[in-house]
Amino acid sequence: MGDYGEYLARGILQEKGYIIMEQNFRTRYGELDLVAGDGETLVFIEVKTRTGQSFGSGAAALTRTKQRHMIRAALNYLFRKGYHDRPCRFDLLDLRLDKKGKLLCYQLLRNAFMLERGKNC
Amino acid sequence: MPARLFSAAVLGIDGYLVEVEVDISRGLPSFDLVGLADTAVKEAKERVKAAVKNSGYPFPAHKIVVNLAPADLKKEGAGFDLPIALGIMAAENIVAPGRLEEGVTTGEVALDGSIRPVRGVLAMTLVARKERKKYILLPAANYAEARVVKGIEVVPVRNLLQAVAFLNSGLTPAFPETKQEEKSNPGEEDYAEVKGQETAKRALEIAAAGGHNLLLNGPPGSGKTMLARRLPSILPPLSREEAVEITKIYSVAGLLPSGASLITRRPFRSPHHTITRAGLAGGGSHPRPGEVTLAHHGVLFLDELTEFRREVLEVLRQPLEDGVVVISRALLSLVYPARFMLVCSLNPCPCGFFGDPVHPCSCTPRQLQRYRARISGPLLDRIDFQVEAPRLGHREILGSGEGETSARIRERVVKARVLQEERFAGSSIYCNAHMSSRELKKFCRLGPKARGLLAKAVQNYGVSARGCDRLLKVARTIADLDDSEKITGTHLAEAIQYREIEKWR
Repeated sequence: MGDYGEYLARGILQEKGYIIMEQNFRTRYGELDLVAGDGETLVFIEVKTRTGQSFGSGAAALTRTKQRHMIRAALNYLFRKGYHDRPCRFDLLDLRLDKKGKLLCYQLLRNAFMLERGKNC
Repeated sequence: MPARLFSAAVLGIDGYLVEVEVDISRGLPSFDLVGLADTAVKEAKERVKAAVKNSGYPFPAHKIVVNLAPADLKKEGAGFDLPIALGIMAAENIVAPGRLEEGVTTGEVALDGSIRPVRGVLAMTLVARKERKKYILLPAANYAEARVVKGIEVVPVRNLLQAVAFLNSGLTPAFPETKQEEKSNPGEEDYAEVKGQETAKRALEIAAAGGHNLLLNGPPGSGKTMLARRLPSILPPLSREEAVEITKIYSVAGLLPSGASLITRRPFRSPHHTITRAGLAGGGSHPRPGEVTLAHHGVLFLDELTEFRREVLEVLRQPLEDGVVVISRALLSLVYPARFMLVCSLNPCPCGFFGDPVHPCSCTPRQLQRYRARISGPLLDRIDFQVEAPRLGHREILGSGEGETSARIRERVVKARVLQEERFAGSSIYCNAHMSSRELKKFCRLGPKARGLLAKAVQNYGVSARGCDRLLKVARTIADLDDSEKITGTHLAEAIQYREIEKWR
């Protein structure tokens, strides 16, 4: 289901002008669902897929721990690719599907969180 | 290039400039605040983020570092919100950097971008002028207070947008001119309302004229508190420097009413007897001025002196001697001004009727002894004179005769103060109570008759050396009220009769 969500997400993001660079980038610290370029900015995207009448939005599911994993993975990505001076950002894409897997609605949360010392990094 | 601008903070009652540097660089988005900031300053991050966004500007998704210098002083309060917000906007080229470094900025921001008042604005404005800054940008609610300072442009802003408009195009927000404060205070209490107690009134007049400390002793209900409360009404009016100094203290303590400018009345502080040492002297982890400082240039009234805890009263010793309080903490040491007139009241015994002609006293000698031992000798030694406020007779209670008005008493007090100012011109003291032994020798020469009287008093009443000095100071003030160059026997005799507590020991 997550893979299907990421497939949908690619389409949505490309429509918004993002250039997808990586999908499911795995590091030992965590995984980045999607990495894309939005103009000059490098965007790390977390995709949350939900079906039916689930409780709470995807944004609420982005816990401190999850943020920490994303930050570490992003740092690892930047290091491995040799990007040193690029503006970066974390986005959250929240997808809502019905039972048959049809996209009902979605929400793109740009700059969903920042690094906060002592909290998520 | 980091953006640079200036804000101000307060240490003791004086301001100092704080440099705010904001650097925005690429990388993972973060917002860090360095430079020994306390919790309220750290929380600026969230307020600033929301305020910038809600004012219609984008908040940068970059790596933001804010530095507050000097880095070794602990910064407190929310006054750095506005400078941080403007610094971030300057680093993002929303605010033109041109005028930014020429002035000082302070203010707390609300989430919607409006600006809330902060404490200590007068001290900040004074330091901004001293450092030759061209303007101070501050919350509109603090405008009246800062406007007192001449020689610097005061820019009041209600929200972030107005601050940006001023920095970018020099637009000063229109602000209604505040009314000048009224001269007379109609609700002021007056000595004409106090029945009888002529001796006590006379003693208070002398105390006001010479800046002496005073103790009122009397049974319950005789009007001690009423008498003391009206003391500010006969004290000389505040000079401008004194008013600025008092306003600075109240502004730092956060006790200045919103929209108020200069304080024009002498303070009258009467702390409850449950007060702690830190409450009286000042202190705390973020030091705040205590009651002795809030009573600066005014009156500190301790009602029911014997109820105060002894260790609390002991902290009065330093301010009574030096006119300042020194607060020493591990990280810093602060000096607060504390030159006040001390007025105390107490009952003659636990039941209150000792020496009363009508009511019998029900205290045992032992109770009486313990009660009197509760008053600190060293503190008593610093009180120039004592006066009894006896029970009122039926004629005084029921009589309709009005006493002398405060205004008339004040005239005499002011006259006596003028004499003293001439006498002490060029020295640091300004009233008789602060004379040192050298000045005593110079200004309190006695005639042969008065000298004989003093000798007798020392012999018969056991007046100590310090007590003798105090007698002379009070006698000097009495002579000043009489417009007399010399201290005569009459003046000295009056001074001697105000030393009755001497009998207690």
